[in-house]
Amino acid sequence: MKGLLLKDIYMTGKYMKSILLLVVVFIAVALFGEGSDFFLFFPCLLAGVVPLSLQSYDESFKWTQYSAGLPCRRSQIVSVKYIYGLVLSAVMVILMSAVHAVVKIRGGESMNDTAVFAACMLGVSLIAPALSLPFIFKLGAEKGRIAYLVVVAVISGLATFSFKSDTLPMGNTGDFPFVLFIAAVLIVFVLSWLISIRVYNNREL
Amino acid sequence: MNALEIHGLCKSYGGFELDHIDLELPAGCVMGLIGENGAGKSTIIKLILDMIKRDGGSISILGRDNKKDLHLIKEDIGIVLDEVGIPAGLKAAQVDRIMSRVYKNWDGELFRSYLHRLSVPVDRQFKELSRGNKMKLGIAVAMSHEAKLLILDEATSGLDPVVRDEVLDIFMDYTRDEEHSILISSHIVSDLEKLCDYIAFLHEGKLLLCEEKDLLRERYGLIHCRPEELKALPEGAVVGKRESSYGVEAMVRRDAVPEGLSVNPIDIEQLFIFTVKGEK
Repeated sequence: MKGLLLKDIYMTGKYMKSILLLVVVFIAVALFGEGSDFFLFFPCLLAGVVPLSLQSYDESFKWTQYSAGLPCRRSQIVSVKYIYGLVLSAVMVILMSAVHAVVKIRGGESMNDTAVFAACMLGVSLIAPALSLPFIFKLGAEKGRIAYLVVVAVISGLATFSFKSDTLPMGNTGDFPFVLFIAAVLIVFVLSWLISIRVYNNREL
Repeated sequence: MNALEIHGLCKSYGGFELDHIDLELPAGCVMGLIGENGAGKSTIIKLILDMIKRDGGSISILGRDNKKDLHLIKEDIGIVLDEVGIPAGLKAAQVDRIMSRVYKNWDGELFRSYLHRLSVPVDRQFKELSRGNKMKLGIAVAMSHEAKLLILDEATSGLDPVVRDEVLDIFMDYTRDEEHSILISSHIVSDLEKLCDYIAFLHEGKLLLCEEKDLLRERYGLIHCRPEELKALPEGAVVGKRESSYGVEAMVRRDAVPEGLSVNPIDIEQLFIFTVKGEK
């Protein structure tokens, strides 16, 4: 499994430099511009996209077939994508939460809503892979991409609507059950993980 | 012990049917799968590696069932697939580091020595390598973790004749150890003729024959004669024939033709062509 993880790290470095650049740009905009919190949400959404892109690359390079001959179970092949996605999302959420806190401190505002913000970012980051990966493992990256686009469109739409209509409970942290929210997101993520293992075990490569 | 045992293997999908395949590859031997495109060679390899689900039959690799224990057996299997499967952006050193964490018995020094011996450029990404070099990198990976069974799907295709010869020598060195076996599919019958102890002919999902190569040569031969001479041969003597205005060329069973008839040696490619034609 370590080898599979290392392969994904190399692949991220090779093919996803543009994501890193975007993250830097969005952080800069959040820090030095007058942008909304949306600029901090977007990198988290991108972090969630990485495992989907990696699986897509795996299929186009025929690694999917090749890895079937390596001494690892299919469940490990699936798990690597989830673990890697979880770690990337966690790192990105911590980073963006730190930026969020800096912006608030600099603006003389309270940091109270940073925890809610972090919870929402974690949700944004994990929900896209959680809802898309089972389709990708079941149908392949080509067809699974359609499911992924639908999921991202829905999430982006909801996020935009929330920011515009102020339905996100920023500044009202007491009302937001963020522990429950994180728990719900993690439950969905773990369920997705188990479903992906099941469908990938039955998939013909 | 047999390195590979396949009994009654069946698989059907999309108009193709693999029909009750039986193969046994003894340890220390090389078996060549010969067949035209779509004959079922890659399907058999995919079924061995459990990439696709079989409809029936059983597969045992190094004495273990390929369904129950495949993840354990795979430490002992080296694979080279038609399209290799190494990610395009990786360099050989990165492949080395990845595989050292994938295989318990990975030998990085051996891997690098194979790359050197096969003249694979180590400073280039996989996508920048020629098809031949990609294949050589795949072969180096397969040979560098003390595998007991190599499964090679068209592993020599794309290699120029000189390199192909060198790769075949490496495979032959590998099988000097009596625990080491190879299952290889190829269109290039001359490669298989040089390398293999056993030959299996596949045609439209059916196994036409699976025999020791030397036995095949002993058992079958080629005759050139006139059509009326061919008709005079005993029933069952002719396996396949090719008629032209110059006469008939036929593959015959040596033990079924009358003594005194001149029977020429037959090579594996001719054997395959006549067997398929006889089937048709």
